[in-house]
Formats: sequence, C-alpha cells, structure tokens
Amino acid sequence: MNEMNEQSGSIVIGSDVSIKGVLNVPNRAIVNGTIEGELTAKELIVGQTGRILGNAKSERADIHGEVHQTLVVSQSLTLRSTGKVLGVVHYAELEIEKGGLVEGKMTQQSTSTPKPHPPVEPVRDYPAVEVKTDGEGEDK
Amino acid sequence: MFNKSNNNQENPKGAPAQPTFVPEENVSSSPGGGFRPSLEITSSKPSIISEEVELTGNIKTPGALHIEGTVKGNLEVASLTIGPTGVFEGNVNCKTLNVRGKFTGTSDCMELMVASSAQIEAKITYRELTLQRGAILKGELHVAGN
Repeated sequence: MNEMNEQSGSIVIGSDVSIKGVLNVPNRAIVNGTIEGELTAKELIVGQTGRILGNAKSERADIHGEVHQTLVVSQSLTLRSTGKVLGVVHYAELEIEKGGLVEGKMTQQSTSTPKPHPPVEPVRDYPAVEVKTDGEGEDK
Repeated sequence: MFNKSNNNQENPKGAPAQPTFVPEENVSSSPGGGFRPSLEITSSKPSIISEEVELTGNIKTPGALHIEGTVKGNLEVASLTIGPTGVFEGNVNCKTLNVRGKFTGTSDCMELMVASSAQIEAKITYRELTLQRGAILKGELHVAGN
C-alpha cells in the first residue's frame, strides 16, 4: 500500500488530546486521547491511553484502551489485554486476549462472512428408461 | 469423586471408548485447540459425559467435569469443560469455564475461556476472559466485583 494512501482520510488523536463531536473518518482512526461523541471509521485503533465515550462504528477495530457505550464493528473486533469495552457491542468476528474486559451486552451478526451455501443436492443420474417391458413390468 | 461413578453409569459405552480422557488429546483435532487444559484445580481426573449421552439434572462436584454429550441442568463444579461436541443448557457455577461447544444459559465463573468453535448465548459473570477468534458469544457479560 502506498504510504500516502494510508494516510489520506486518516486521523491520529494523540494522548492527552480530547475531542468532543462527531468524527467521520473514511480510513483509519488512531485514538490515543479521548473522544466524546460519535466516531465512524473504516479501521479503528484505540491505543492504551485512548478512550471513546459514546458511539464508535467501524469495519475493523483493535482496542487497547477503553470504549464506553456502543461499539459496532461490522467485521473484525480485537480486544487486547489492556482493552475494556463497557456497553453494547455488535460484532461479526471477535477475539479477546486474556485480560481484556467486556461488560455489557454482546450481539453478533455474521454479515461480512456469509455462510457457505448448504450442500446442493446431487443430481441423480437416472438412466433413461425407454424400453418398455412386456408383461412383467411391475416394479416391486 | 463421588459423582464419578454416577456419570459413568450414565455413560455405558463412553467408558471403554475413552478410558482416561485427557483434554489434550482433543486439541489437535478440534479447531479450538491451543487452550491449555484447566485441570489445575484438582489433580483428579474429570468426570466425563461422553458424546451421545444426554443428561438432565444437577451435578455438584469439587472436581472437573467434561461434557461431550448433551447436558441440561444446574452445575456446581470446580472446572467445566464443554467439548467440541458438547452441549450444555442451564446454569453453572464454577471457577474455570472452558467452552468449545455450545452453551446456553447463565454462568458465574472466575476464568472464562472460549475457543473458536464455541457458540455461547448466555449471561456470564466472570473475572478473566479469553476468547479465540471465530467464537460466537451473545448475551450479557459482567465483570465480577464491578
């Protein structure tokens, strides 16, 4: 990936920085400070000192810090050993390292990983019956 | 292990098939491998509800219980392991809860370990939690002491 591409549409909130409001991040959000409000990002990384108070929404999330209230992750959520989520969590795929804490409601929807189709019934290859038997044609 | 004989009676064919079941044997074959067995609580062997055994009732043991079959009821055990084929429905109080199969109900435990093959729909109070990628956990989680 191009480094410029990685950086465009991204935000880094340093530690001791606090922000209130609504953030729409098309790419990656790295939060080491505190956000109060709403955050939508493609990829969310909350550092050890990072805190989100409010609603966070992302495709992928890597949580080393704290998220309070609501966390919606449409794909993969990783909660690290120092991570803490208090509130409602929606996820598709989840991993929690030892030490990570979740307090609240968990819901799961496997939208991003569609389940494999049920096995298709094998087409039975009956031999074409054309010849009509004479008298003894009754099947058992 | 006073419960042990009871469980084995429930389990006519399991005993010869798995005479001394050690959880590690399962690790390589199950997708939830990689978990260390949680048997440090007692040195004794776990009571085992084998595959295809269905049990409805309450079990209380100071030792470990391993479920590969289907169990409905209330459990009070030191350590509960729900194996990849295991299904448990009910309430369990334990120190260590290790889930690789299906669990529905409520639990109060110290250490919760969820393998990738696990499917949980439960209200769980815990102190420490590990969850492998791929596991499905729905319900409510509470941290003890909070």
